[in-house]
Amino acid sequence: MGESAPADATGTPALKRPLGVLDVWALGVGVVVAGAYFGWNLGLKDNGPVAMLVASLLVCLLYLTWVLALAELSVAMPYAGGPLAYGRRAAGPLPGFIMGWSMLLEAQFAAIGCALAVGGYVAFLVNPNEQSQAVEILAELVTLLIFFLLQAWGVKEQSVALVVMTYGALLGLCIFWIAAATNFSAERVWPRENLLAGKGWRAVLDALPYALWWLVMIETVALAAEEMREPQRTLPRGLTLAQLTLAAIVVLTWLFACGAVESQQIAVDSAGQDISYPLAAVLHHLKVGENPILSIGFGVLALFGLIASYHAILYAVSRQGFALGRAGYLPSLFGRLHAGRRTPTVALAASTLLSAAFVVASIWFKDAINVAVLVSTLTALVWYVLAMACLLILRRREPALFAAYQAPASRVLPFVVAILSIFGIVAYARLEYAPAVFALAAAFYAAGIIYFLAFARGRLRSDAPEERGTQMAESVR
Amino acid sequence: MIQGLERLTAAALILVVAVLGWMVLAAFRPEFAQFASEETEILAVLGLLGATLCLVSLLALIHTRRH
Repeated sequence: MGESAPADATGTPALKRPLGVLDVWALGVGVVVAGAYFGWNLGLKDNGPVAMLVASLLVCLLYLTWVLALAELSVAMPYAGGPLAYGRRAAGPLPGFIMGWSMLLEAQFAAIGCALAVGGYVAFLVNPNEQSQAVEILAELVTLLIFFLLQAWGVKEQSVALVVMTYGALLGLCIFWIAAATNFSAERVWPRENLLAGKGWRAVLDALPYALWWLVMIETVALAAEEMREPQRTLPRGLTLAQLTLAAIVVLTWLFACGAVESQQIAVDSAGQDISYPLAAVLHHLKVGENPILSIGFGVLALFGLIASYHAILYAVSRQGFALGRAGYLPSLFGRLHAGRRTPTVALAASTLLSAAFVVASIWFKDAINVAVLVSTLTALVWYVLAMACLLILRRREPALFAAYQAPASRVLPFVVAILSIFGIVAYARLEYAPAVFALAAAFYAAGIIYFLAFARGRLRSDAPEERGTQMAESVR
Repeated sequence: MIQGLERLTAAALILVVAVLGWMVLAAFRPEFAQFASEETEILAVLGLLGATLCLVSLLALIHTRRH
Protein backbone atom coordinates (compact mmCIF):
# COMPACT_ATOMS: atom_id res chain seq x y z
CA MET A 1 0.00 0.00 0.00
CA GLY A 2 1.41 3.32 -1.03
CA GLU A 3 2.74 5.50 1.73
CA SER A 4 4.80 6.98 -1.08
CA ALA A 5 2.21 6.73 -3.83
CA PRO A 6 3.12 8.21 -7.24
CA ALA A 7 2.33 11.87 -7.43
CA ASP A 8 1.77 14.67 -9.91
CA ALA A 9 4.13 17.61 -10.43
CA THR A 10 3.07 19.15 -7.13
CA GLY A 11 3.48 16.01 -5.09
CA THR A 12 -0.24 15.13 -4.84
CA PRO A 13 -1.23 11.50 -5.54
CA ALA A 14 -2.44 11.38 -9.16
CA LEU A 15 -4.11 8.78 -11.38
CA LYS A 16 -2.84 7.63 -14.81
CA ARG A 17 -4.15 9.26 -18.05
CA PRO A 18 -4.67 6.38 -20.49
CA LEU A 19 -8.40 6.80 -21.39
CA GLY A 20 -9.54 7.78 -24.89
CA VAL A 21 -12.92 8.33 -26.60
CA LEU A 22 -13.60 4.58 -26.94
CA ASP A 23 -12.90 4.04 -23.24
CA VAL A 24 -15.27 6.87 -22.28
CA TRP A 25 -17.94 5.47 -24.61
CA ALA A 26 -17.47 1.99 -23.08
CA LEU A 27 -17.61 3.39 -19.54
CA GLY A 28 -20.76 5.35 -20.42
CA VAL A 29 -22.56 2.45 -22.08
CA GLY A 30 -21.19 -0.20 -19.75
CA VAL A 31 -22.16 1.58 -16.56
CA VAL A 32 -25.86 1.71 -17.51
CA VAL A 33 -26.36 -1.18 -19.94
CA ALA A 34 -27.75 -3.27 -17.05
CA GLY A 35 -30.73 -0.91 -17.10
CA ALA A 36 -31.84 -2.57 -20.34
CA TYR A 37 -31.73 -6.00 -18.72
CA PHE A 38 -33.80 -5.38 -15.59
CA GLY A 39 -35.71 -2.76 -13.64
CA TRP A 40 -37.37 -0.69 -16.39
CA ASN A 41 -40.00 -3.37 -16.98
CA LEU A 42 -41.66 -2.60 -13.63
CA GLY A 43 -42.81 0.69 -15.11
CA LEU A 44 -45.05 -1.27 -17.47
CA LYS A 45 -47.11 -2.58 -14.55
CA ASP A 46 -50.53 -0.87 -14.60
CA ASN A 47 -49.15 1.84 -16.93
CA GLY A 48 -48.72 0.07 -20.26
CA PRO A 49 -46.16 0.40 -23.05
CA VAL A 50 -47.14 3.86 -24.33
CA ALA A 51 -46.73 5.57 -20.93
CA MET A 52 -43.41 3.77 -20.59
CA LEU A 53 -42.30 5.08 -23.98
CA VAL A 54 -43.17 8.70 -23.12
CA ALA A 55 -41.41 8.37 -19.74
CA SER A 56 -38.38 6.73 -21.39
CA LEU A 57 -38.02 9.52 -23.96
CA LEU A 58 -38.26 12.10 -21.17
CA VAL A 59 -35.46 10.27 -19.36
CA CYS A 60 -33.38 10.07 -22.56
CA LEU A 61 -33.73 13.84 -22.94
CA LEU A 62 -32.86 14.41 -19.27
CA TYR A 63 -29.68 12.38 -19.57
CA LEU A 64 -28.63 13.78 -22.94
CA THR A 65 -28.90 17.35 -21.67
CA TRP A 66 -27.36 16.34 -18.33
CA VAL A 67 -24.23 14.74 -19.79
CA LEU A 68 -23.67 17.75 -22.06
CA ALA A 69 -23.98 20.22 -19.17
CA LEU A 70 -21.85 17.96 -16.99
CA ALA A 71 -19.15 17.75 -19.67
CA GLU A 72 -18.80 21.52 -19.38
CA LEU A 73 -18.07 21.23 -15.64
CA SER A 74 -15.87 18.17 -16.06
CA VAL A 75 -13.71 19.71 -18.76
CA ALA A 76 -13.31 22.88 -16.69
CA MET A 77 -12.36 20.86 -13.61
CA PRO A 78 -11.04 17.44 -14.70
CA TYR A 79 -10.59 15.97 -11.24
CA ALA A 80 -11.53 12.51 -9.98
CA GLY A 81 -13.70 14.20 -7.36
CA GLY A 82 -15.91 15.92 -9.96
CA PRO A 83 -18.94 16.99 -7.88
CA LEU A 84 -16.70 17.78 -4.90
CA ALA A 85 -14.66 20.12 -7.09
CA TYR A 86 -17.73 21.82 -8.61
CA GLY A 87 -19.46 22.41 -5.28
CA ARG A 88 -16.24 23.43 -3.51
CA ARG A 89 -15.35 25.98 -6.15
CA ALA A 90 -18.86 27.39 -6.61
CA ALA A 91 -20.12 27.53 -3.02
CA GLY A 92 -17.52 26.34 -0.48
CA PRO A 93 -16.43 23.18 1.36
CA LEU A 94 -19.81 22.11 2.79
CA PRO A 95 -21.75 22.27 -0.51
CA GLY A 96 -18.75 20.58 -2.16
CA PHE A 97 -18.88 17.79 0.40
CA ILE A 98 -22.66 17.39 0.03
CA MET A 99 -22.30 17.00 -3.74
CA GLY A 100 -19.37 14.60 -3.46
CA TRP A 101 -21.17 12.65 -0.77
CA SER A 102 -24.33 12.50 -2.93
CA MET A 103 -22.42 10.98 -5.79
CA LEU A 104 -20.62 8.56 -3.50
CA LEU A 105 -24.01 7.39 -2.15
CA GLU A 106 -25.45 7.18 -5.65
CA ALA A 107 -22.59 5.04 -6.92
CA GLN A 108 -22.30 2.89 -3.78
CA PHE A 109 -26.01 2.02 -3.69
CA ALA A 110 -26.10 1.39 -7.42
CA ALA A 111 -23.12 -0.97 -7.00
CA ILE A 112 -25.01 -2.79 -4.26
CA GLY A 113 -28.15 -3.05 -6.41
CA CYS A 114 -26.18 -4.33 -9.37
CA ALA A 115 -24.28 -6.91 -7.31
CA LEU A 116 -27.57 -8.21 -5.90
CA ALA A 117 -29.03 -8.41 -9.42
CA VAL A 118 -26.02 -10.42 -10.64
CA GLY A 119 -26.61 -12.98 -7.89
CA GLY A 120 -30.30 -13.24 -8.66
CA TYR A 121 -29.63 -13.70 -12.35
CA VAL A 122 -27.01 -16.42 -11.77
CA ALA A 123 -29.45 -18.29 -9.52
CA PHE A 124 -32.11 -17.96 -12.24
CA LEU A 125 -29.73 -19.41 -14.82
CA VAL A 126 -28.79 -22.31 -12.56
CA ASN A 127 -32.44 -23.17 -11.89
CA PRO A 128 -35.16 -20.98 -13.45
CA ASN A 129 -37.93 -22.74 -11.54
CA GLU A 130 -36.54 -22.51 -8.02
CA GLN A 131 -33.76 -20.11 -7.16
CA SER A 132 -31.29 -21.13 -4.47
CA GLN A 133 -30.42 -18.38 -2.02
CA ALA A 134 -27.04 -20.04 -1.37
CA VAL A 135 -26.17 -19.83 -5.08
CA GLU A 136 -27.36 -16.24 -5.16
CA ILE A 137 -25.23 -15.13 -2.19
CA LEU A 138 -22.20 -17.09 -3.37
CA ALA A 139 -22.40 -15.58 -6.86
CA GLU A 140 -22.71 -12.08 -5.40
CA LEU A 141 -19.68 -12.50 -3.11
CA VAL A 142 -17.56 -14.05 -5.86
CA THR A 143 -18.49 -11.16 -8.18
CA LEU A 144 -17.45 -8.63 -5.53
CA LEU A 145 -14.10 -10.37 -5.00
CA ILE A 146 -13.28 -10.77 -8.71
CA PHE A 147 -13.98 -7.13 -9.53
CA PHE A 148 -12.11 -5.85 -6.52
CA LEU A 149 -9.03 -7.75 -7.71
CA LEU A 150 -9.51 -6.69 -11.35
CA GLN A 151 -9.81 -3.01 -10.52
CA ALA A 152 -7.01 -3.08 -7.97
CA TRP A 153 -4.84 -4.51 -10.76
CA GLY A 154 -4.97 -1.33 -12.82
CA VAL A 155 -7.09 1.15 -14.75
CA LYS A 156 -6.00 0.19 -18.27
CA GLU A 157 -6.58 -3.51 -17.68
CA GLN A 158 -10.01 -2.95 -16.16
CA SER A 159 -10.88 -0.54 -18.98
CA VAL A 160 -10.07 -3.22 -21.57
CA ALA A 161 -12.20 -5.72 -19.64
CA LEU A 162 -15.08 -3.24 -19.57
CA VAL A 163 -14.92 -2.70 -23.34
CA VAL A 164 -15.08 -6.49 -23.89
CA MET A 165 -18.01 -6.93 -21.47
CA THR A 166 -19.86 -3.97 -22.98
CA TYR A 167 -19.59 -5.51 -26.45
CA GLY A 168 -20.87 -8.78 -24.99
CA ALA A 169 -23.83 -7.01 -23.38
CA LEU A 170 -24.64 -5.23 -26.66
CA LEU A 171 -24.42 -8.52 -28.56
CA GLY A 172 -26.89 -9.99 -26.05
CA LEU A 173 -29.32 -7.15 -26.74
CA CYS A 174 -28.96 -7.60 -30.52
CA ILE A 175 -29.78 -11.30 -30.13
CA PHE A 176 -32.80 -10.38 -28.00
CA TRP A 177 -34.09 -7.84 -30.55
CA ILE A 178 -33.83 -10.35 -33.41
CA ALA A 179 -35.44 -13.17 -31.41
CA ALA A 180 -38.25 -10.91 -30.12
CA ALA A 181 -38.91 -9.60 -33.64
CA THR A 182 -40.10 -13.09 -34.65
CA ASN A 183 -43.26 -12.53 -32.60
CA PHE A 184 -43.70 -8.78 -33.08
CA SER A 185 -47.17 -7.24 -33.07
CA ALA A 186 -47.80 -3.49 -33.50
CA GLU A 187 -51.12 -3.91 -31.65
CA ARG A 188 -49.27 -4.78 -28.45
CA VAL A 189 -46.96 -1.77 -28.70
CA TRP A 190 -49.76 0.69 -29.50
CA PRO A 191 -53.01 -0.59 -27.89
CA ARG A 192 -55.24 2.00 -29.54
CA GLU A 193 -58.25 1.28 -27.31
CA ASN A 194 -56.40 1.90 -24.04
CA LEU A 195 -53.24 3.87 -24.69
CA LEU A 196 -52.57 5.13 -21.14
CA ALA A 197 -54.03 2.15 -19.27
CA GLY A 198 -57.08 4.15 -18.19
CA LYS A 199 -54.97 6.39 -15.94
CA GLY A 200 -54.48 9.30 -18.30
CA TRP A 201 -51.16 11.17 -18.01
CA ARG A 202 -50.70 9.91 -14.43
CA ALA A 203 -49.49 6.69 -16.05
CA VAL A 204 -46.46 8.58 -17.39
CA LEU A 205 -45.65 9.99 -13.94
CA ASP A 206 -45.95 6.53 -12.40
CA ALA A 207 -43.69 4.98 -15.04
CA LEU A 208 -41.02 7.68 -14.79
CA PRO A 209 -39.09 6.40 -11.69
CA TYR A 210 -38.64 3.06 -13.40
CA ALA A 211 -37.69 4.71 -16.69
CA LEU A 212 -34.84 6.43 -14.81
CA TRP A 213 -33.34 2.97 -14.30
CA TRP A 214 -32.54 2.85 -18.02
CA LEU A 215 -29.83 5.50 -17.79
CA VAL A 216 -29.01 6.47 -14.21
CA MET A 217 -25.26 6.46 -13.38
CA ILE A 218 -23.92 7.55 -16.77
CA GLU A 219 -22.68 10.74 -15.12
CA THR A 220 -20.17 8.73 -13.12
CA VAL A 221 -18.00 8.75 -16.26
CA ALA A 222 -17.19 12.36 -15.37
CA LEU A 223 -15.08 10.94 -12.55
CA ALA A 224 -12.67 9.61 -15.16
CA ALA A 225 -11.79 13.10 -16.44
CA GLU A 226 -8.55 13.07 -14.45
CA GLU A 227 -7.54 9.90 -16.29
CA MET A 228 -8.27 11.08 -19.86
CA ARG A 229 -6.09 12.23 -22.65
CA GLU A 230 -7.32 15.68 -23.80
CA PRO A 231 -10.42 15.74 -21.56
CA GLN A 232 -11.80 18.83 -23.36
CA ARG A 233 -12.34 16.67 -26.47
CA THR A 234 -12.48 13.13 -25.14
CA LEU A 235 -15.11 13.66 -22.45
CA PRO A 236 -17.91 15.47 -24.36
CA ARG A 237 -17.40 13.34 -27.47
CA GLY A 238 -17.32 10.05 -25.57
CA LEU A 239 -20.33 10.98 -23.42
CA THR A 240 -22.39 12.17 -26.40
CA LEU A 241 -21.69 9.00 -28.38
CA ALA A 242 -22.51 6.87 -25.33
CA GLN A 243 -25.77 8.72 -24.79
CA LEU A 244 -26.81 8.31 -28.43
CA THR A 245 -26.03 4.59 -28.26
CA LEU A 246 -28.07 4.28 -25.08
CA ALA A 247 -31.07 6.18 -26.50
CA ALA A 248 -31.13 3.70 -29.41
CA ILE A 249 -30.86 0.77 -26.96
CA VAL A 250 -33.76 2.13 -24.88
CA VAL A 251 -36.11 2.52 -27.84
CA LEU A 252 -35.21 -0.79 -29.50
CA THR A 253 -35.42 -2.81 -26.27
CA TRP A 254 -38.78 -1.24 -25.38
CA LEU A 255 -40.09 -1.75 -28.92
CA PHE A 256 -39.16 -5.41 -29.33
CA ALA A 257 -39.94 -6.47 -25.75
CA CYS A 258 -43.39 -4.85 -25.75
CA GLY A 259 -44.06 -5.99 -29.30
CA ALA A 260 -43.25 -9.63 -28.58
CA VAL A 261 -45.57 -10.27 -25.59
CA GLU A 262 -48.24 -8.41 -23.62
CA SER A 263 -46.61 -5.71 -21.50
CA GLN A 264 -48.05 -7.08 -18.23
CA GLN A 265 -46.29 -10.39 -18.92
CA ILE A 266 -42.98 -8.51 -18.89
CA ALA A 267 -43.76 -6.79 -15.58
CA VAL A 268 -45.29 -9.53 -13.43
CA ASP A 269 -45.37 -13.32 -13.53
CA SER A 270 -48.45 -15.54 -13.34
CA ALA A 271 -48.31 -15.41 -9.52
CA GLY A 272 -48.36 -11.61 -9.58
CA GLN A 273 -44.70 -11.28 -8.55
CA ASP A 274 -42.45 -8.62 -10.10
CA ILE A 275 -40.17 -10.03 -12.80
CA SER A 276 -36.46 -9.40 -12.32
CA TYR A 277 -35.42 -10.94 -15.65
CA PRO A 278 -37.72 -9.27 -18.21
CA LEU A 279 -35.78 -10.05 -21.37
CA ALA A 280 -35.28 -13.69 -20.38
CA ALA A 281 -38.99 -13.80 -19.52
CA VAL A 282 -39.89 -12.49 -22.99
CA LEU A 283 -37.72 -15.13 -24.67
CA HIS A 284 -39.28 -17.77 -22.41
CA HIS A 285 -42.70 -16.93 -23.92
CA LEU A 286 -41.47 -17.22 -27.52
CA LYS A 287 -41.16 -20.30 -29.67
CA VAL A 288 -37.54 -19.45 -30.57
CA GLY A 289 -36.82 -19.22 -26.84
CA GLU A 290 -37.32 -22.99 -26.55
CA ASN A 291 -33.92 -23.44 -28.18
CA PRO A 292 -31.53 -24.10 -25.24
CA ILE A 293 -28.52 -22.66 -27.06
CA LEU A 294 -30.38 -19.39 -27.54
CA SER A 295 -31.75 -19.17 -24.01
CA ILE A 296 -28.52 -20.14 -22.22
CA GLY A 297 -26.35 -18.09 -24.60
CA PHE A 298 -28.57 -15.07 -24.09
CA GLY A 299 -28.53 -15.61 -20.31
CA VAL A 300 -24.73 -15.59 -20.25
CA LEU A 301 -24.58 -12.40 -22.35
CA ALA A 302 -27.20 -10.79 -20.12
CA LEU A 303 -24.92 -11.53 -17.21
CA PHE A 304 -22.20 -9.68 -19.12
CA GLY A 305 -24.47 -6.62 -19.07
CA LEU A 306 -25.02 -6.80 -15.34
CA ILE A 307 -21.37 -7.29 -14.46
CA ALA A 308 -20.27 -4.64 -16.97
CA SER A 309 -22.45 -2.19 -15.07
CA TYR A 310 -21.19 -3.36 -11.70
CA HIS A 311 -17.63 -3.06 -12.96
CA ALA A 312 -18.11 0.53 -14.18
CA ILE A 313 -20.03 1.56 -11.06
CA LEU A 314 -17.31 0.17 -8.80
CA TYR A 315 -14.84 2.22 -10.82
CA ALA A 316 -16.92 5.33 -10.10
CA VAL A 317 -17.46 4.73 -6.40
CA SER A 318 -13.77 4.03 -5.76
CA ARG A 319 -12.72 7.21 -7.61
CA GLN A 320 -15.17 9.31 -5.63
CA GLY A 321 -14.02 7.76 -2.34
CA PHE A 322 -10.41 8.36 -3.39
CA ALA A 323 -11.09 12.03 -4.21
CA LEU A 324 -12.92 12.69 -0.95
CA GLY A 325 -10.12 11.00 1.01
CA ARG A 326 -7.38 12.81 -0.91
CA ALA A 327 -8.96 16.18 -0.15
CA GLY A 328 -9.49 15.38 3.55
CA TYR A 329 -13.30 15.13 3.47
CA LEU A 330 -13.05 11.43 4.37
CA PRO A 331 -10.23 9.73 6.34
CA SER A 332 -6.92 10.17 4.45
CA LEU A 333 -6.61 6.39 4.11
CA PHE A 334 -9.15 6.59 1.26
CA GLY A 335 -6.88 8.96 -0.67
CA ARG A 336 -3.98 6.54 -0.92
CA LEU A 337 -2.92 4.85 -4.16
CA HIS A 338 -1.14 1.54 -4.61
CA ALA A 339 2.55 2.35 -5.04
CA GLY A 340 3.02 0.25 -8.17
CA ARG A 341 -0.43 0.07 -9.82
CA ARG A 342 -1.57 3.63 -8.95
CA THR A 343 -5.08 2.43 -8.17
CA PRO A 344 -7.17 3.52 -5.14
CA THR A 345 -7.10 0.15 -3.41
CA VAL A 346 -8.33 1.34 0.00
CA ALA A 347 -11.38 3.05 -1.50
CA LEU A 348 -12.02 -0.06 -3.61
CA ALA A 349 -11.73 -2.33 -0.58
CA ALA A 350 -14.08 -0.16 1.51
CA SER A 351 -16.74 -0.10 -1.22
CA THR A 352 -16.44 -3.86 -1.75
CA LEU A 353 -16.74 -4.58 1.97
CA LEU A 354 -19.83 -2.37 2.27
CA SER A 355 -21.42 -4.13 -0.70
CA ALA A 356 -20.58 -7.49 0.87
CA ALA A 357 -22.27 -6.40 4.11
CA PHE A 358 -25.45 -5.54 2.15
CA VAL A 359 -25.27 -8.86 0.29
CA VAL A 360 -25.23 -10.70 3.62
CA ALA A 361 -28.00 -8.44 4.98
CA SER A 362 -30.16 -9.24 1.93
CA ILE A 363 -30.64 -12.73 3.38
CA TRP A 364 -33.04 -11.14 5.89
CA PHE A 365 -34.10 -7.98 4.00
CA LYS A 366 -35.78 -9.07 0.78
CA ASP A 367 -36.42 -5.51 -0.44
CA ALA A 368 -32.72 -4.62 -0.25
CA ILE A 369 -32.31 -4.39 -4.03
CA ASN A 370 -35.33 -2.10 -4.52
CA VAL A 371 -34.27 0.22 -1.71
CA ALA A 372 -30.63 0.28 -2.88
CA VAL A 373 -31.55 1.31 -6.42
CA LEU A 374 -34.10 3.91 -5.29
CA VAL A 375 -31.65 5.53 -2.83
CA SER A 376 -29.08 5.61 -5.63
CA THR A 377 -31.48 7.37 -7.98
CA LEU A 378 -32.75 9.85 -5.43
CA THR A 379 -29.23 10.96 -4.41
CA ALA A 380 -28.38 11.23 -8.11
CA LEU A 381 -31.25 13.62 -8.83
CA VAL A 382 -30.26 15.72 -5.80
CA TRP A 383 -26.77 16.35 -7.12
CA TYR A 384 -27.96 16.94 -10.71
CA VAL A 385 -29.91 19.94 -9.41
CA LEU A 386 -26.98 21.15 -7.26
CA ALA A 387 -24.52 20.71 -10.13
CA MET A 388 -26.62 22.90 -12.40
CA ALA A 389 -26.69 25.60 -9.70
CA CYS A 390 -22.87 25.36 -9.54
CA LEU A 391 -22.61 25.65 -13.32
CA LEU A 392 -24.69 28.83 -13.35
CA ILE A 393 -22.70 30.36 -10.45
CA LEU A 394 -19.31 29.54 -11.98
CA ARG A 395 -20.27 30.71 -15.47
CA ARG A 396 -21.15 34.09 -14.04
CA ARG A 397 -18.17 34.33 -11.67
CA GLU A 398 -15.40 32.68 -13.72
CA PRO A 399 -16.32 32.71 -17.41
CA ALA A 400 -12.72 31.93 -18.43
CA LEU A 401 -13.04 28.56 -16.72
CA PHE A 402 -15.28 27.37 -19.56
CA ALA A 403 -13.12 28.60 -22.44
CA ALA A 404 -12.06 25.10 -23.53
CA TYR A 405 -15.58 23.71 -23.90
CA GLN A 406 -19.12 25.06 -23.64
CA ALA A 407 -22.20 22.88 -24.08
CA PRO A 408 -24.60 23.51 -26.98
CA ALA A 409 -27.72 25.60 -26.21
CA SER A 410 -25.80 26.54 -23.10
CA ARG A 411 -28.17 29.24 -21.86
CA VAL A 412 -31.17 26.97 -21.40
CA LEU A 413 -29.46 23.61 -20.81
CA PRO A 414 -28.83 23.91 -17.03
CA PHE A 415 -32.42 25.05 -16.41
CA VAL A 416 -33.84 22.18 -18.44
CA VAL A 417 -31.70 19.64 -16.55
CA ALA A 418 -32.72 21.09 -13.17
CA ILE A 419 -36.44 21.17 -14.03
CA LEU A 420 -36.42 17.64 -15.46
CA SER A 421 -34.58 16.40 -12.33
CA ILE A 422 -37.06 18.06 -9.97
CA PHE A 423 -39.86 16.53 -12.06
CA GLY A 424 -38.19 13.13 -11.48
CA ILE A 425 -37.97 13.67 -7.72
CA VAL A 426 -41.66 14.59 -7.62
CA ALA A 427 -42.51 11.42 -9.53
CA TYR A 428 -40.48 9.37 -7.03
CA ALA A 429 -42.58 10.69 -4.19
CA ARG A 430 -45.53 8.70 -5.60
CA LEU A 431 -43.73 5.35 -5.20
CA GLU A 432 -44.71 2.72 -2.66
CA TYR A 433 -41.18 2.68 -1.20
CA ALA A 434 -40.87 6.48 -1.01
CA PRO A 435 -41.03 6.89 2.82
CA ALA A 436 -38.32 4.29 3.46
CA VAL A 437 -36.12 5.61 0.68
CA PHE A 438 -36.41 9.26 1.74
CA ALA A 439 -35.74 8.31 5.39
CA LEU A 440 -32.66 6.22 4.53
CA ALA A 441 -31.24 8.91 2.25
CA ALA A 442 -31.83 11.57 4.94
CA ALA A 443 -30.03 9.39 7.52
CA PHE A 444 -26.98 9.02 5.24
CA TYR A 445 -26.90 12.76 4.53
CA ALA A 446 -27.15 13.53 8.25
CA ALA A 447 -24.30 11.10 9.06
CA GLY A 448 -22.10 12.60 6.35
CA ILE A 449 -22.72 16.19 7.36
CA ILE A 450 -22.09 15.43 11.04
CA TYR A 451 -18.77 13.75 10.13
CA PHE A 452 -17.81 16.76 8.00
CA LEU A 453 -18.63 19.30 10.70
CA ALA A 454 -17.14 17.32 13.58
CA PHE A 455 -13.97 15.87 12.02
CA ALA A 456 -13.21 16.84 8.44
CA ARG A 457 -13.82 20.60 8.33
CA GLY A 458 -10.57 21.47 10.09
CA ARG A 459 -8.45 18.89 8.24
CA LEU A 460 -9.07 19.68 4.57
CA ARG A 461 -5.90 19.30 2.50
CA SER A 462 -4.85 22.40 0.63
CA ASP A 463 -2.71 20.37 -1.80
CA ALA A 464 -5.61 18.32 -3.25
CA PRO A 465 -6.36 19.25 -6.91
CA GLU A 466 -9.93 20.30 -6.05
CA GLU A 467 -8.60 22.65 -3.34
CA ARG A 468 -5.69 24.01 -5.37
CA GLY A 469 -7.99 25.04 -8.22
CA THR A 470 -10.31 26.84 -5.82
CA GLN A 471 -7.44 28.58 -4.03
CA MET A 472 -5.96 29.80 -7.32
CA ALA A 473 -9.35 31.17 -8.38
CA GLU A 474 -9.83 32.88 -5.01
CA SER A 475 -6.36 34.45 -5.12
CA VAL A 476 -7.15 35.91 -8.57
CA ARG A 477 -10.43 37.35 -7.26
CA MET B 1 -26.41 27.89 -39.60
CA ILE B 2 -25.18 26.53 -36.27
CA GLN B 3 -26.55 29.58 -34.48
CA GLY B 4 -29.94 28.98 -36.07
CA LEU B 5 -29.84 25.33 -35.03
CA GLU B 6 -28.93 26.38 -31.51
CA ARG B 7 -31.85 28.78 -31.29
CA LEU B 8 -34.22 26.12 -32.62
CA THR B 9 -32.91 23.59 -30.08
CA ALA B 10 -33.26 26.07 -27.22
CA ALA B 11 -36.85 26.79 -28.29
CA ALA B 12 -37.63 23.07 -28.40
CA LEU B 13 -36.16 22.56 -24.91
CA ILE B 14 -38.25 25.40 -23.51
CA LEU B 15 -41.31 23.85 -25.13
CA VAL B 16 -40.51 20.52 -23.45
CA VAL B 17 -40.42 22.25 -20.06
CA ALA B 18 -43.80 23.84 -20.80
CA VAL B 19 -45.17 20.42 -21.79
CA LEU B 20 -44.01 18.99 -18.44
CA GLY B 21 -46.14 21.58 -16.66
CA TRP B 22 -49.07 20.76 -18.91
CA MET B 23 -48.54 17.03 -18.29
CA VAL B 24 -48.78 17.48 -14.51
CA LEU B 25 -51.97 19.52 -14.94
CA ALA B 26 -53.39 16.92 -17.34
CA ALA B 27 -52.51 14.13 -14.89
CA PHE B 28 -54.45 15.61 -11.98
CA ARG B 29 -56.93 17.99 -13.61
CA PRO B 30 -57.57 16.53 -17.06
CA GLU B 31 -60.75 18.60 -17.48
CA PHE B 32 -58.62 21.79 -17.60
CA ALA B 33 -55.81 20.48 -19.80
CA GLN B 34 -57.36 18.32 -22.52
CA PHE B 35 -56.91 19.87 -25.97
CA ALA B 36 -57.39 16.88 -28.25
CA SER B 37 -58.02 13.15 -28.18
CA GLU B 38 -55.64 11.12 -25.99
CA GLU B 39 -53.97 9.59 -29.04
CA THR B 40 -53.35 13.00 -30.63
CA GLU B 41 -51.91 14.36 -27.39
CA ILE B 42 -49.57 11.40 -27.05
CA LEU B 43 -48.42 11.64 -30.64
CA ALA B 44 -47.78 15.38 -30.22
CA VAL B 45 -45.72 14.81 -27.05
CA LEU B 46 -43.77 11.92 -28.60
CA GLY B 47 -43.11 14.03 -31.69
CA LEU B 48 -41.83 16.92 -29.60
CA LEU B 49 -39.60 14.68 -27.45
CA GLY B 50 -38.24 12.84 -30.49
CA ALA B 51 -37.54 16.05 -32.39
CA THR B 52 -35.84 17.64 -29.37
CA LEU B 53 -33.67 14.58 -28.85
CA CYS B 54 -32.61 14.69 -32.50
CA LEU B 55 -31.88 18.42 -32.36
CA VAL B 56 -29.81 18.20 -29.16
CA SER B 57 -27.91 15.16 -30.48
CA LEU B 58 -27.15 16.84 -33.81
CA LEU B 59 -25.96 19.98 -32.11
CA ALA B 60 -23.85 18.02 -29.62
CA LEU B 61 -22.13 16.10 -32.41
CA ILE B 62 -21.36 19.29 -34.31
CA HIS B 63 -19.98 20.84 -31.12
CA THR B 64 -17.72 17.90 -30.31
CA ARG B 65 -16.45 17.78 -33.88
CA ARG B 66 -15.51 21.44 -33.70
CA HIS B 67 -13.48 20.77 -30.57
